[in-house]
Amino acid sequence: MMTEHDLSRIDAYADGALDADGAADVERHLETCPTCAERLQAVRDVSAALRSAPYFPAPDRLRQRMAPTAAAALRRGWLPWAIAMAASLVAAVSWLQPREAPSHEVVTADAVLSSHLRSLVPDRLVDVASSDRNAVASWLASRVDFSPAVPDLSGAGYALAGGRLDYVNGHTAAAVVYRRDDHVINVLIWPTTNPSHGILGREGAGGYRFRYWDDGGKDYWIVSDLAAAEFDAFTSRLHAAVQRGS
Amino acid sequence: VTSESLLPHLDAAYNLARWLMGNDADAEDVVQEACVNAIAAARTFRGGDVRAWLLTIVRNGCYSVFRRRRGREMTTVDEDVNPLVSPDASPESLALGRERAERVHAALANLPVEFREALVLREFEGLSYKEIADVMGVPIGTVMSRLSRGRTHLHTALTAGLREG
Repeated sequence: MMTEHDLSRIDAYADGALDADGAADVERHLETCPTCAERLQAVRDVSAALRSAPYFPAPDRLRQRMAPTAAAALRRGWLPWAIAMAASLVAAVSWLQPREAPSHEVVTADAVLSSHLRSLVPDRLVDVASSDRNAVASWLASRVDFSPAVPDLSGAGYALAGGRLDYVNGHTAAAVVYRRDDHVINVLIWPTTNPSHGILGREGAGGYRFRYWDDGGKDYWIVSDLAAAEFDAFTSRLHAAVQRGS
Repeated sequence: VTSESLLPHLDAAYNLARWLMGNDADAEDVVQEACVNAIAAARTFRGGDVRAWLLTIVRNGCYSVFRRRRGREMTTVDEDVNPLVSPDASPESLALGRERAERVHAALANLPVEFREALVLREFEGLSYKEIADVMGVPIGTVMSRLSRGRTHLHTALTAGLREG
């Protein structure tokens, strides 16, 4: 038998969560108990009220990032994100197989993160401190056997801090360093050895974010602890600027 | 589990994350990470409802953000809601409808998170008590009590608002 004023049981009745016997039991009780009848009305009022509360559907931006086909992504200009998602899924699955050797991307991501962390040690961030993209580009170009792109993204709020030479995963790398507020963004560039023509998105331990692509000749790895939205904005702008050759 | 099998549940995932986090930027981060984690963990999926499984991962993602920002979880305030409704708002039905919607939004957004998540899963997604218990990782009895107490809080908040209005 139903005990007096078992309110959560009234809720369960209203939610259709009771079996036939339980529901019949509550219905019998409701006939003689104004308190519980009032509760049932309150539950229904709250349900009705919640129908006027907003339902938040996934933004298109997020949906496109999850788009399963590159064709759909291409139409909306989201191809890089589709590739990023596909690549990160492949990478994510591969991390689950501990007996398998880690992928090239995972090894490189670790090396890139090490470079980033080393650069945060005082006075290790840049070898040449300048917000002049030409000065940084020519300093780097005279020390490596390729031409690293150094776009000026200050208009978007990413200040150029300078450049440095680094050694990442067996490569001499050009590091182009940007700042946004208190966050450092390292862009590491070296000649491609393992072409994949994709972008890899991955959030590593401790909230560090990575993006990677190769442009056919050079690998670009970007690492930072920026928030996701700002990091995505930065990498999109950098990618576009490098593509334009500016 | 593939990204294609998750897509139909993206709205449910986002709605839960948005109600728990209280803003779009955090909700997007949580859902994107949850989708990657869902596919990464596909081998641990034992069959059943993909939606409930994805919602579990989203919910856990929200709570790990709360833990990183310790102390905020009980006071998550929806940044986009204006709980103050002008007392001399237009009496037109449209305005009343909006006023009511804002009042409901504010009342739900201000509920403690454990009541809020139970109500969102029940009232918006129509999950069964068993599914809610699985998503929240608590016994069914706890789900019943949280739903019930959450509704009591909401009912009080909404009727008090009406009396004031």
